[in-house]
Amino acid sequence: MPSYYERKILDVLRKYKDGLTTVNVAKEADISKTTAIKYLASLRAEGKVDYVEVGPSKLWRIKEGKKPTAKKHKAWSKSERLEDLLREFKEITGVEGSAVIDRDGFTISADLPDGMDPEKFGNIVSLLLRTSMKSIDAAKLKPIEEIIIGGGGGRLVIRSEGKVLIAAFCKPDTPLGTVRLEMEDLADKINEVLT
Amino acid sequence: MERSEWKDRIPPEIISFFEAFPGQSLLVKGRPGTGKTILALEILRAICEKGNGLYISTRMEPRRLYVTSPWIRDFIPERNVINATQSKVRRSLGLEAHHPGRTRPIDYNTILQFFRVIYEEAEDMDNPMIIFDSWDGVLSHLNMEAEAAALTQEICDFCREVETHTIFVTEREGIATIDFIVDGVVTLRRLRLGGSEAGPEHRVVREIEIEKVRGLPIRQSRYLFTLHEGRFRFFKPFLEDLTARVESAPYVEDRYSTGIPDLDRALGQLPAGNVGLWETHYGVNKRYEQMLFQLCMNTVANGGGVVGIPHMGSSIGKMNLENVVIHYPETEDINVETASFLSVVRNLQEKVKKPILTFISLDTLEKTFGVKGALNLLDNFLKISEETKLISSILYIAGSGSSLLRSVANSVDIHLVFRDVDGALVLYGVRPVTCLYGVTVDEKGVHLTPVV
Repeated sequence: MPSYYERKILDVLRKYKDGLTTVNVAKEADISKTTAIKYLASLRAEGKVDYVEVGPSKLWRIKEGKKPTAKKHKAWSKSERLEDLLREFKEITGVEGSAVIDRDGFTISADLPDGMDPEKFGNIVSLLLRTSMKSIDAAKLKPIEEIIIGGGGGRLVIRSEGKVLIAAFCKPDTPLGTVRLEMEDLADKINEVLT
Repeated sequence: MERSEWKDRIPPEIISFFEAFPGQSLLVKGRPGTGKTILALEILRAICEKGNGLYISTRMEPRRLYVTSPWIRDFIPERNVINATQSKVRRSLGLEAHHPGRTRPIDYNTILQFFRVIYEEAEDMDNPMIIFDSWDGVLSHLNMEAEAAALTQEICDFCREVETHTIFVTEREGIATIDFIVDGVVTLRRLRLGGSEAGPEHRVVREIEIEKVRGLPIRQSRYLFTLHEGRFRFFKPFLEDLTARVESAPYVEDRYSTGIPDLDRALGQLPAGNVGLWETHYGVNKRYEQMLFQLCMNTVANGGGVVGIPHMGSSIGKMNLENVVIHYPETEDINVETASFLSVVRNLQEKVKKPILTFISLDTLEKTFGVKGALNLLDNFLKISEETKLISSILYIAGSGSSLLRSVANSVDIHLVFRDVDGALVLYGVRPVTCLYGVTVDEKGVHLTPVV
């Protein structure tokens, strides 16, 4: 099980696919420089990350080639399996990002669009949920099934699926039907992982 | 405020060096006892954030470090004093206990593992600054002297990459490969003033030479410094400032006071009515006048008067200060000059109703009256002083080349020598014997700091 700091480092490296210098890993993960060096060194020893030399600097990246060996499902943690499901969902539907949220608005797993802060995202969802619940209650439309917010830059679709809510960031041209269909499928798989 | 005071102790070239780029490496060279560790710690204090110092040594003596300088604990917590001889440090560098050679080459990964082990023991640091003290000691304990260049290079590259300043302390003299690898080199020396000459001239001088600061100009390459009170402090080039308003020091009973408390302490308790000699070496030029100015101002502030025959071009001679009367010889006749000097002294004494302090430039006298004439005139002045009690004390001022110097030196109670060392003004007492002092001036007047 990776430690808190290792998870923080892996998260930022997943976000910055092109790689980050050691100093920027520390900055992005909001950890001290010495902590970043310690954990990058041990993550490298475990084969989870590696550096590439770009000019005079070294850029840290997630070590590729983990997938084939990881196909043996039993060794996977729940969060790793959820991350994998979200990546697959993104590939099939072409959404910009997605997330699994519990009924209290807390993020379980997320694959957010570039530059989006997970904490900010969590705040948006929990605000949306509270407002929507009240509205649905008042309009006597319970239980809640779906929240869709449209903007010029795309749509945020949140669907209630069993124990969890699934959020998807869609581009303006993403067919909503496909997204909904795939969301149902994704929800089944997620509920399977979580039970 | 505090931080800027700390920065003032270190030559500006070194401060700019560390502020110019992140991840700078500095080599501090010097023989044992030259103050390398104190300098490294003083740099840490000026540049590094509290708790971010890391001290890597072959000796595990944090307590000793803290006893001599308690403030170090704030910058280098106990956990950050790392013993480089531990087996896990050796292993991180690819050295196994029963393996004759290295198990893997020194590369980025080796250094990464080295720092993983080092940082494992240390506190979390956002901006670490590392001191290897001494680097020779660490290399020799790890048996890695042959690989010194490769290891230093990798550490410097790594620290540049992770934006961490490093200081390597070494007792090795002369130029080695490591000098080319690091970004900056400074050497500390303990010299004897006066060269090989025997005699009273010998005083210990500490000097720092900035040999290399990559990418930055060196405005001044050598500075005088002291380790007074266990702290490193360099001396800026001294320039007199006669506009400074100095605090006057009251006289204590009939004790002689120069008006400079540090100088009074250095000279000990001297009775009033003494004869002094200030000898100035070439290079000091008019800078000694800072002290003469304070002496005059203090005499006036205590209700006394001053009559002076100054050096040609003297700044004090042009200042027109109240109760400080400047007198230049008008003839070449000794008897006429003796009489006119006496009348000037008497007039002022009648005005202030106190015996007068006189200062006399021997160079001015020699130029006007020749050596023999000048000595006769001085003899007359001494007689007046003794007979009339109009004069409280006499101060001779002479360049070190003056022909009168040796004759006069034998008859004085106080003999101070002023010299220039790397732009700093220094002085020491030949009689009474004192150590060397660096002269500085601020709004409170002249201060003397022992060069120890």
